[in-house]
Amino acid sequence: MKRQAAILAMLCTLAALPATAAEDGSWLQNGRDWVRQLWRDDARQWLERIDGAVANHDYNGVIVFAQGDRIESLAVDHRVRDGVETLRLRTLSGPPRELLKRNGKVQSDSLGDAPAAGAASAQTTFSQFGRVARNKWYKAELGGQSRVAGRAVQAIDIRAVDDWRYSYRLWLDQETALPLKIATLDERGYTVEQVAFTQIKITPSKGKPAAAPPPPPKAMDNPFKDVKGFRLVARGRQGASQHYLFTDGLASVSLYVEPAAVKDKAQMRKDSVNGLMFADGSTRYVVLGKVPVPTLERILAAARR
Amino acid sequence: MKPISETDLEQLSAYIDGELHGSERRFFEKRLAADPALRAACERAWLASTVLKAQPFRLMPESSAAEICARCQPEAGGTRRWALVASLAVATVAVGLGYGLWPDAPVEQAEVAAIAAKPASRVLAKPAGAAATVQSAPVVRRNLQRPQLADNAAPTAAVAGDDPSSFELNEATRSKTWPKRDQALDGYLVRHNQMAGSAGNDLISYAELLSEPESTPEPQERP
Repeated sequence: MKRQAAILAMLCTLAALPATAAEDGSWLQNGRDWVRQLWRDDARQWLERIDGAVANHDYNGVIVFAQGDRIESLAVDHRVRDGVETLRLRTLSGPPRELLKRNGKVQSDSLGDAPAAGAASAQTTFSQFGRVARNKWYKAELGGQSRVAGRAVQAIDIRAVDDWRYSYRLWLDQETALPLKIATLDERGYTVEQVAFTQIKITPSKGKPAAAPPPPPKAMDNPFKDVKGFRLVARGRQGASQHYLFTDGLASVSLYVEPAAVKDKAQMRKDSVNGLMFADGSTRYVVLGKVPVPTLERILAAARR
Repeated sequence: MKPISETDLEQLSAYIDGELHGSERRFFEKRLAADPALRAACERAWLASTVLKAQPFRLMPESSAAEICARCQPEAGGTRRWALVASLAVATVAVGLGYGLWPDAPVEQAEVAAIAAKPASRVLAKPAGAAATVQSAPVVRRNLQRPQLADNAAPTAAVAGDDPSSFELNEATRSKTWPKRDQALDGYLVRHNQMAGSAGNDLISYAELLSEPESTPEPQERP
């Protein structure tokens, strides 16, 4: 008798569940929201681990850089000693070139010193991805799991919230959260650029561990109107050519303003980089970056006002 | 999906009328390929045009005015006079239309029959005498100013709205690419990667900087 009553009570409970859901619907929705939030937090936590991973690990290996129909391979050596980051890049294909960045200073055997007034030298490699969780122009979501360079990775989709910028997909090392592969997706979702480690050796860095992650690059006073979240973060000059660097935290756009006694106009593209050039007879404006063409047009229009 | 604007309808009407040429026409065809709503509107317009053009011409019989007058049941002498005037006016209009339309009618009907036999979604040739006889697909009125896509038009914020898809590019410049050997243009990219790499310590910018073929940081003044 007791058994029959228990079965009856269980059946009544099961029958009541859908009815409650249909009546209110909130617990089901709350559950969904909770799970969604859990996943979103997971993506955020993964991204927030990047700065610490870079600052507290040495790594060296080979990266492959694919852009358009071009594929280049480079040797990478990254070390951190007492919080000071040293990055060395060496080409393995094409002309032999080397770049060394130590304590915020860049040296290259073929390019000379890189001038960049207002450069935020405190940034660590991949810092821009570590800050995506707090970037309102992008939304991070957890992707699937796979392998890159023989290591287990977790994919993170970084989707642009609008059509004014590209999206990205990261593959983070599951053990350390170091980015092992980065893909850039254009406004249609097609991959336009990929950087991936094909070999990598990761070891904990020696010396004192890094303290708090570096602050993001400070925005400078923009002589032009801000466009769709792109803020001025660096400014330089080469001869009469003024160079302004804008960024939304991930994508960067350069604007060049220089005297030119010609009238000309062109739209340009090189692999994943779009560019616009407009010369009105006295000034030439060149704007380029890995962003959709309408974004460049907006920035160009703001500069010409 | 973006709603179809008045400007879109104007361009659609111009496209159907064969009044879009060159870059405007190519750009609009690209938009048609990319925008299902616009494509559906275009197909509806073609269908309406085809149906209108397929209608046979029926001239009103000359007795129709008298028949209408007979059904009006005149009540007084004054109204009878007005009815007579109206009948004469209708008859005059009918005769005038008949005189104006009759010589073209055989050719027109043959063309209309040929057009009607084609699928509605296909691009149709505009009949030679269509303007005089049948409205040539007046889907929308185009009395508003048509957007100018001049080759030398400077890109401005007014052209690019809040939706990037509304950005109207000049087809002539869209097809241009970076000149592969233009050191001045490559120089801008090198400078960009230098500054982007330094400002954000961006590994990708550095990788791009190193793998750039024949990098030259100094941009040259173009003549």
